[in-house]
Amino acid sequence: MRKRLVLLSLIAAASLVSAATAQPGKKAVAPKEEAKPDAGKAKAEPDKADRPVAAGDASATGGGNDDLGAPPPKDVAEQKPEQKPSPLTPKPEEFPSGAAKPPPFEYDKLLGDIATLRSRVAALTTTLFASKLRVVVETKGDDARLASFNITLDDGVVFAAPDRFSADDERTVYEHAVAPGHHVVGVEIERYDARNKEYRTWQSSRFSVVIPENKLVDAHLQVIDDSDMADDFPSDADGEYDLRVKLRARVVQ
Amino acid sequence: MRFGSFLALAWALGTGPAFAQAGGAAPAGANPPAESPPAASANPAGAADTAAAPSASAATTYDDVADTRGEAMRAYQTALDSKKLSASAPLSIQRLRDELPAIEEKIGAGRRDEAIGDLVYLVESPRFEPFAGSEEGKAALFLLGDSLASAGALQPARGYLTRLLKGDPGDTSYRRAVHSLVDAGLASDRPEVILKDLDAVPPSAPDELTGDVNYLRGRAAELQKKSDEALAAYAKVGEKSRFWAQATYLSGVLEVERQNFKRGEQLFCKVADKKQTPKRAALFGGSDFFRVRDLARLGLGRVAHEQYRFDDARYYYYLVPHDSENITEALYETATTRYEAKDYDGARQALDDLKRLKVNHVYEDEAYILDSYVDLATCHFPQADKKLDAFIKRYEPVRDAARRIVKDGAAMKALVDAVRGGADPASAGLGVPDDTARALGSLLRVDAGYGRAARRLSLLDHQLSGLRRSMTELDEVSSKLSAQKETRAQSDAGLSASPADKVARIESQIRELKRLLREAERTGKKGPDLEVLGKELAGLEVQARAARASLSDAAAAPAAKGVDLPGLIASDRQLATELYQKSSVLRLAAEKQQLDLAQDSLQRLDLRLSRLLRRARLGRIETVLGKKRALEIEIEALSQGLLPQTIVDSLDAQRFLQDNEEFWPFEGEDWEDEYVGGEGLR
Repeated sequence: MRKRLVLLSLIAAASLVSAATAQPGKKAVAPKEEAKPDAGKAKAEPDKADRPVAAGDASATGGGNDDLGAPPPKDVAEQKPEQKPSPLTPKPEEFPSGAAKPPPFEYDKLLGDIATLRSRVAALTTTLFASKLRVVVETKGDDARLASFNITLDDGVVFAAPDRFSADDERTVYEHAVAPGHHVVGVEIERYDARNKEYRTWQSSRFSVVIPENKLVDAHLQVIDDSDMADDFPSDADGEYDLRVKLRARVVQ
Repeated sequence: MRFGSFLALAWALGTGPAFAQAGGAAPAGANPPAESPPAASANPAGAADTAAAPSASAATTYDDVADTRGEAMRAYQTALDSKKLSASAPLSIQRLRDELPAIEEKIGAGRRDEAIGDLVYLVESPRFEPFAGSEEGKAALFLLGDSLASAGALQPARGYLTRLLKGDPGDTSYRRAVHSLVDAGLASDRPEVILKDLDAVPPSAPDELTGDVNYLRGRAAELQKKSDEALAAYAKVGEKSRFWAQATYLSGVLEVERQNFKRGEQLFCKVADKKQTPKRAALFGGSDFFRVRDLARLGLGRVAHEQYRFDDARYYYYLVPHDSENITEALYETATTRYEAKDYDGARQALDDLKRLKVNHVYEDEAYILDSYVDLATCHFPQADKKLDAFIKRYEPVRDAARRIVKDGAAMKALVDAVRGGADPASAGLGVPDDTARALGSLLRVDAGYGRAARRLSLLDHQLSGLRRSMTELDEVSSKLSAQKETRAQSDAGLSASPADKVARIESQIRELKRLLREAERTGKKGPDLEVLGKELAGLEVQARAARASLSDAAAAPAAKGVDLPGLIASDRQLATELYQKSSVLRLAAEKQQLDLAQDSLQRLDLRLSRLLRRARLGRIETVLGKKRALEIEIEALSQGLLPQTIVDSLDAQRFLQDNEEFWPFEGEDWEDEYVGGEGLR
């Protein structure tokens, strides 16, 4: 009923407009050249009103008057009621505008170059260095879950945990030839509590480790989380984060 | 719904997890309908064509060869040999058998980079050639190619994997190589490059291989908007292919886009209806098959909806199982269909089912409005008014927050990353109230393009962080070669005192400052100090970017180049520096693209919420008109002697009794002209 009322009113309005322009003895119709800019302007207004606010478009954000949106399209009156879309129908511009532009081929080339260079360097160090570092990880904490976990060696990431990584039992995450001397082993962890995902922690620790000549050093990292923040804080507004990282390094061979 | 539903169908296609394997590229179907092409997207494409002309030929030249960059490693082997530093242990089949399981274990544990290093050490050794044709040798080649492909290094991966395509197509390593190349092609933005390699697969190859190749061919054609070619390729995907369901479903989507609803429905039915599905398709398709089946059922519902077959649409939506990740979509669509069919009880039931799920979903706002409109349609005006008022109060700040955040790159990225990573948006430091941040997070529809851009950036970041370690290793090797006996500290700088650490600290402080400024703006504090601070912050950001870009310059270590070992190391050190610089530039471009996509998501959310808020305001006007009309009808009824139910109830004496009172009903004589109450009156 409501739709019909809208339609009827639009039809009536359209017929009124056409009747007015058809009145004899009225002012002569403006030449096309003059009429065009106005028509263009009239068309541009609704576009602006319905468009999302672009960065820096202060005029559109100020009063929030653009909530009125665009006027209905002119051809609404010509649509049959059963073919008229529901008022809740999303507009096409609310959907993704198609496939994103692919990256230039240099991106592929660069990744290929870096990966092969890294593999070359890894093979070279395997040949030249007899000293080795092994990093073993063990996580403890019943309710702690890893969101991200990286092991770094001298500022370079040597292990990035894949999805669903778990180290409840000891897991070797890195074992490779390194130059003898001091190295910095780092661990970067983001964790959340399984009882309430909103409680998250970020931790970054670094340890200086000495690798003797021709020896294999086993660096055993224990990542412990005994936090009760997610459980206690929501109930009694008092909780505690308890995070520890322990590293034990020993020469095994 | 009509056209919008098909857009939604295509949207589901791009974001559906079932297609994550297929690369998640937004297909042609993700475009808006032809009658309203986005002008903005058309122009850059044309501009890009002319601007990209010189680089196109370079890309073709690059793509035509599958260079493994093995020569550089072989040069190292020669140089090491000349210095008597190369490995002396002989290579044998047994040694390969011993080493390959350990390497596979590393790949399984996520130690892919280490595995690549080990495999390059094996495969690029001159001693490997005699064993390259053995099963173990082929397995090593496959593992190396597959690992490189998953690391994003497509060209070297192709180099190793195509070596395996020279054998028998029935061979295990041949099959694995084809599967790996197809997966790489689906994940790539340029699948046509991989397709050239896969031309080597003969038509007589097993069905599972030709099916996979044809699926990739179809996807590539679809990306290039060649729907005829895509349909032809999809039609050749047999039931033994792991992509049969995907190919059939995508064919259906293409047919629906061409308005061939009947054909599209037939294709969807093949996936959705157990009786029509080939027996082995589910077996070969794995868990993805069932995800695609849910999408096909949704597709059938939308085709029926498009053709005003509302009951059919309800049936198809009903077929989506309750444990499906598309259940919220199915229930919302059911409610919409029933509303359009004027079955308001059915719509109400579907909306109640949706509420009972108690999950956040991307249709929350639209379901809210639909709920109010069902109330309006059933003349429950006060309830509708209450809901619409609550909607405006809840979502207007969300829309305003979306408009604010779209201007702040860091906040925008933090929000989209939180949504993608499943983190709480309230903890992303957006400078908006927690409820608003969470509402923004639940409503944001991040399309597949963003996922691909984020994956590209994360691959690049991973390689860059590894490259930093490789640069250090090259310096260590140089030191080792120049002073063989000396053992010195490799990392003698203070902890977290490297230039990269310092830049990272500066960037984190800038982020924090921006968050504080956002907080200040939110609380309404405005003043000249804030403006000055904002300008100073913008200047600091520029300086931080410059510092980040200059990191690699500082790390460069010039050295003499040559063909001997120190010379090769010096060359690689210089190459590493150049790659680092190029990567930094490319990273900025990749980050910008990611931000553009995030901005697009937020702008679309703004459009949607603006439409719904307008609809809510119109709905409130309707409720007032409805209340007025109800009152008019009531007055009209009263004038005719008909009492409304509320008044009839109020005439019942028992309603007004206290606990300590009793009611004695009238038992006297009944006089015809005496009014005794409203019993039986309507």
